[in-house]
Amino acid sequence: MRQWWSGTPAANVLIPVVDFHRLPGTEPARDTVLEHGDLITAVELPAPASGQRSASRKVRDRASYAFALVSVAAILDLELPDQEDDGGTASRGGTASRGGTASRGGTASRGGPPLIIKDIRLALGGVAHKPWRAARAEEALRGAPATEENFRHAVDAELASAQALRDNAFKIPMAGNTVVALLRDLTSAFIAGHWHRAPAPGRRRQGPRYRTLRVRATGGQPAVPAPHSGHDRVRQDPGHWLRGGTGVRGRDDRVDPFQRTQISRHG
Amino acid sequence: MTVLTHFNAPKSADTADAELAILQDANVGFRGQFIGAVLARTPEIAREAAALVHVEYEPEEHDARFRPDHPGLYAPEQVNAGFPTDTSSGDADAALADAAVVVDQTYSTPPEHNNPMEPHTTVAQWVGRTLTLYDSTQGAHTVRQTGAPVLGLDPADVHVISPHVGGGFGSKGMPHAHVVLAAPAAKCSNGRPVKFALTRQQMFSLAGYRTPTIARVRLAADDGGKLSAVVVDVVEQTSKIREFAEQTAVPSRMMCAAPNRRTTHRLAPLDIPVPSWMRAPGECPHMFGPEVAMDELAQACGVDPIELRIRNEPGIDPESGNRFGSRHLINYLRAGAGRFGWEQRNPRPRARTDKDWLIGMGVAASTYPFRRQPANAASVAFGNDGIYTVQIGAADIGTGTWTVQTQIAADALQVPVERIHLEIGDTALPQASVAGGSTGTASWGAAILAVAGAFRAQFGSNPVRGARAQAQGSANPDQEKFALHSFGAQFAQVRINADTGEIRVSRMLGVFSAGRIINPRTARSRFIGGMTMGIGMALHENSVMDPRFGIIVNHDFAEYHIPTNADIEDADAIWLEDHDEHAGPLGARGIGEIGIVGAAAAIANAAYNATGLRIRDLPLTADKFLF
Repeated sequence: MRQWWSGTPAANVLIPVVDFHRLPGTEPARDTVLEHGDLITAVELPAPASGQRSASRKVRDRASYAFALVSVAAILDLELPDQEDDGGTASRGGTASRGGTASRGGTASRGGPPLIIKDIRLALGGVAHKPWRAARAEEALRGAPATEENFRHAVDAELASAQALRDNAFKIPMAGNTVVALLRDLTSAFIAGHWHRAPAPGRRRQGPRYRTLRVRATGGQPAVPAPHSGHDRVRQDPGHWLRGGTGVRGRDDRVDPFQRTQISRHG
Repeated sequence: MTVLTHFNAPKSADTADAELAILQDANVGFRGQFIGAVLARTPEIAREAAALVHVEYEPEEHDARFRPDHPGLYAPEQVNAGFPTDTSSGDADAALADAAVVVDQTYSTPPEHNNPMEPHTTVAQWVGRTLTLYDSTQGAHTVRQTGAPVLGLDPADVHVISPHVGGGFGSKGMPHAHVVLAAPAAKCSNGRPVKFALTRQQMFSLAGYRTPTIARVRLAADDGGKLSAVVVDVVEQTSKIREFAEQTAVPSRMMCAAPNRRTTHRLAPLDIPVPSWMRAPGECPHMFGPEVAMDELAQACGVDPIELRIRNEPGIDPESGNRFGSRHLINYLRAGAGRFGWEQRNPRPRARTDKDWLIGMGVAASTYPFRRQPANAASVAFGNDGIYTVQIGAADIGTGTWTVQTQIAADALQVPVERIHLEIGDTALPQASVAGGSTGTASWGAAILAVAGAFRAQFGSNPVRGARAQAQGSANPDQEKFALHSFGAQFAQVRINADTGEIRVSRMLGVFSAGRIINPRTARSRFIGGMTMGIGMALHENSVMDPRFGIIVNHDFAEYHIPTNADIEDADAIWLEDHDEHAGPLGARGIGEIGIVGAAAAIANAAYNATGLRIRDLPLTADKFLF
């Protein structure tokens, strides 16, 4: 067989995904930092930390086969407020019965003070030349109560400097609404996952894209076995970290759960 | 390899139709027009070569921006299908001034492109002076009649073959420029056939499209919603090089029983591609504005939209004074309401939710005129194998003609369908009218009925082998005595995401009358197909013109949205038993177009019921429901 390509990797480069895509600058044709001859050999997707909820939402003009008008991906990690912590552990398990949420229409809401946002990762698509990490909103929300009002203030702060073009001003309110809705749903899912022991049959198929997995109170085995390494799963299902992976306990290793891209540079 | 341009192309014998008069001079009428062609062994080579051609243009002022206050607006002599441009009955202005309730709103529909799956394709081959065209067309004889004079040929020397066609929606109803490009190109190929297929992107410039429409609709009514006046003033665009005047206001001349009526059409001439027929020209864009206006009137009067239409149902055609051949609109509205669960609709907008979604229901009336085309002939021959060969130059553009005309022939000859061998789609066959205007089944079928009768009269029920008869269709004597229209009722339920504004059509029901239904399976498919295209019109379709360059910027299927399977959740169509004696011996009218008519209005009315937002500009995209 004729060899159609030859060469050896000149370098292995690891690029955090936030640095992978680039703003147009003076080279608008270049979407990424990839250079000629670069080859992506792996995409690392570390599993989310224990208890985190993640989801993505693509808003589009038709039900399938359409570019996103706006897309949002988020990872949310909630905890009980300090004064109500049941014993000072990091437990957010099913036996706890306190903590509240902001939710519309009474879905999965409960009494008591709102849960606190321990950590959040938020990114937007369809609003910039590259996937937009909403760092300002994350900053505003980290440590804040998980209320719809706070979600709204945070995303408003993120979008305050957004400049619409003539025909896409709608994207600013659409992005704001979608972020708030997604965080609201994640918060509801967090509560539903902790307080509703038995999800309704078929829910995983019909419901939103997150899984309402239940996590045991303390100790024991994870509700869902953690993949030994992200890679095998990732190749089969690039979106798995957005849909599942909440069951891993004792692995709060603070690894950035957003992708990192490994690139080999060929000379 | 050959390069054809206006420098070396043969002169057209007839340049009256500027859309077809290509390569005749150095003028460019619109962006995307043919200025030359490369003939090569493969399409790849031809395209690569065409990309290498260096063209120098001398820029001139152009105007590709459609607007209702365009300074060049003019009244065409008549509008499509021969209707008068303007009509006026009674004193609409006085009725508007005196009315208890007035709806005065402006509605718009964008340019839309037909986009059949199969691109327009022609294979041309010369043998001596005879030209054979294998064409993707809605009418083989139409291509011959239109093309032969342009090419300077005797129609008898043009043979058009098109037995199977992958969709048309009107864009293949008349030949476009690609046909008259392929024919001279084939003169340069030493007798070999030459094939030319439009690319999908070229189909946005060269195959016709639906003009954008802006309709100011004024309804005057009493407190109970009884109309005293209907005024519809339409502005639409045409190409400067060739006029096409869509008959957008015409249905308002007969839909409602208002004593005072006025309709007008004005055209903005622009340096743009030539608009043409697209499924239900006139009726389809028309029924958006006035049927949404009726919903607005119902809301203003506090009357149920179905009841409002009942109160304004005319006994006779208000325009001609003729009786309707078969109207029954009220029956369809009531039957549909029962089947759809209309009583579950809350007349108060924004009253029904399901989780994050706002739910609403809407209704609109539908209509399409009926006309039987007399210029049809058919033949029957009885063969040695006991098979009846039935010939007519009809077209099947995915509509079921092969099936339905076979059924009609079998029925008329009183033999099983297995003993019918149908031949269509060829100018060698007896002359047939175009598959357009929902006229095909009834017009071709009437010719087949006529020839079957003539055959049996001449040869009896045991014909000799080789027996053959030919007969002509006939004009419909009731055409001018009755108002012949099909009617229907469209029901839609939509859900709109309260956060994102995304809109989805959860359910849709159409109830139609089209005279006798020949084949329920193909008929249902036609109705639902029309409704599906109506959902596309309501939610998706929008050809975006960049007036700086005169180009449709979203000229591909990634960006020109039509519904995907996932967008059509629950669409159903039913019809009530009907046999229209005034339509002709078959009792059938047409079903190809009525399914799209009124669909967008029903969906827009449902969207209002869901959200309280009255969107008067199609399509109904998510950005319009953000609040």
